[in-house]
Amino acid sequence: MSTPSKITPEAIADFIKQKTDATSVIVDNLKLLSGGAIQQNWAFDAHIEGSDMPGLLAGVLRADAPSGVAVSHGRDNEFALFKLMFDADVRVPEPLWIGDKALFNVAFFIMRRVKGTAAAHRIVKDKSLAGDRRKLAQTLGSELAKIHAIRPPQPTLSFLGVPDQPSASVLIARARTFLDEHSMPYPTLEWVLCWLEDNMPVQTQLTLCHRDYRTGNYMVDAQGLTGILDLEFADWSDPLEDIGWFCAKCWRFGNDEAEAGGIGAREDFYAGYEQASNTKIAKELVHYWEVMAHMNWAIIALQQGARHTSGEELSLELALTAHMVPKLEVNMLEMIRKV
Amino acid sequence: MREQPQADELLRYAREVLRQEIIPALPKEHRLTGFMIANAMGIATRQLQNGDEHDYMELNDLTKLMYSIAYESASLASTKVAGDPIAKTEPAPLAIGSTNTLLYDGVLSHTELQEKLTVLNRQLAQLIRNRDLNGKKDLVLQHLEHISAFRATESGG
Repeated sequence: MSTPSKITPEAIADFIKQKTDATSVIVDNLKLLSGGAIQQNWAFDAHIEGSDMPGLLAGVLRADAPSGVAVSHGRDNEFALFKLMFDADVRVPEPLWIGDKALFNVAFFIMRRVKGTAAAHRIVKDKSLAGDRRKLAQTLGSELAKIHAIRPPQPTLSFLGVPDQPSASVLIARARTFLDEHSMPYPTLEWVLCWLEDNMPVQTQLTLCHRDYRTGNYMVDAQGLTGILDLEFADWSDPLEDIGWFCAKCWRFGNDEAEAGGIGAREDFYAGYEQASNTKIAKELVHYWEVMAHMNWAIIALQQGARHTSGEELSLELALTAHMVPKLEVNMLEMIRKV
Repeated sequence: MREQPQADELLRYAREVLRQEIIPALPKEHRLTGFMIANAMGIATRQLQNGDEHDYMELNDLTKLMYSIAYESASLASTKVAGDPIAKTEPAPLAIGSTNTLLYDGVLSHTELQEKLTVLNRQLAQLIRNRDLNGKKDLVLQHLEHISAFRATESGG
């Protein structure tokens, strides 16, 4: 595997100059926002002269990490998802240019930088952020509805296989495959998987789903929602998967009473969604998909823990993530007892 | 006999010092790592405080549970037909003493204990997946709820 080249302001400037046909581009304030084994996000400012977009471009360069761990969509595919959603009026950062892989030896793309913060604990606790919380919940509902308006097939998303099984079946099978290959057994997860299998509702629809739509994956400023992020897990699925994930107790960051993402009331989130989609959410099915959300998160948490334990990526954060699974198991057993 | 303060107490106090003196003094970008270290120490402290006692109990309970699933029918009325794979003539897998305790020669090392638990839990997981609980679903659920609650107190949550 070729060594990735260093990401420099000059290289980014050259790239933008090519793409815009500008007379001059100067890039400064290059700063690594966040980086992990999967991708890296670099903020920068580009001062563009000439072209049809002269002026200051506040941008983000989002690149595959050098390690090339392929557990989710690479940047090429993520760019296609951002583009389709942006064109469908979803409030995602505007994707600008897909990168030339030869430049840094990793796939990358450039998008406009969005203002605000995505820090989940802060958003949940600090009420001065994100403006009116009822409006935020409604907006998050309506934005999700716009994502779900995108239906298969989509030529630019040919990398997403269209499933021929109900989404719940696919997810249950995926979980079982993971557990079969994992070093430790999880009888409680097996129990819940049986419940999920026995109580599987009919698929409502097959739409594009974000599949990690939750607090922590959208940005807000003092006024409200500024951008939806992280499309690396997006796929065709039952839209209730996203609704269950957003409202699941495990994603409320301690603010359990605010059932919609720890930031607002479920009713407001649903109202925003129903108005934008001109449909009704099958509310009696959401509980099932919240159980599924806990299961999916438990599997992901085990995968992340395994990346540390196997030595693939030594990280205290990954090691601690596996320790979230016992609480998730307790939650799931409580949830299925209720029914 | 080990020197005092022992593992769990030493770790517990070191964690307190970390939280009260070190984390507040850390530069902002390292504070999250400081909290994660404190979290890891908390989990380790609780596991040390509990020791292996609960694991022995789990081993005991699991063994009895598996025996019950394999060898005790759910109801008195016989619904079994000839050639039933669960034949009562098979010997019991382990010697279970009259005091209902599990008999082992000596004490198991921590590693051996974990290995035995892994084997039995894997068998239980398989039985659950295959819907092969022989009418003992309630017992299994009770067991899972008990173990999950204990694991959650250790791992934090």
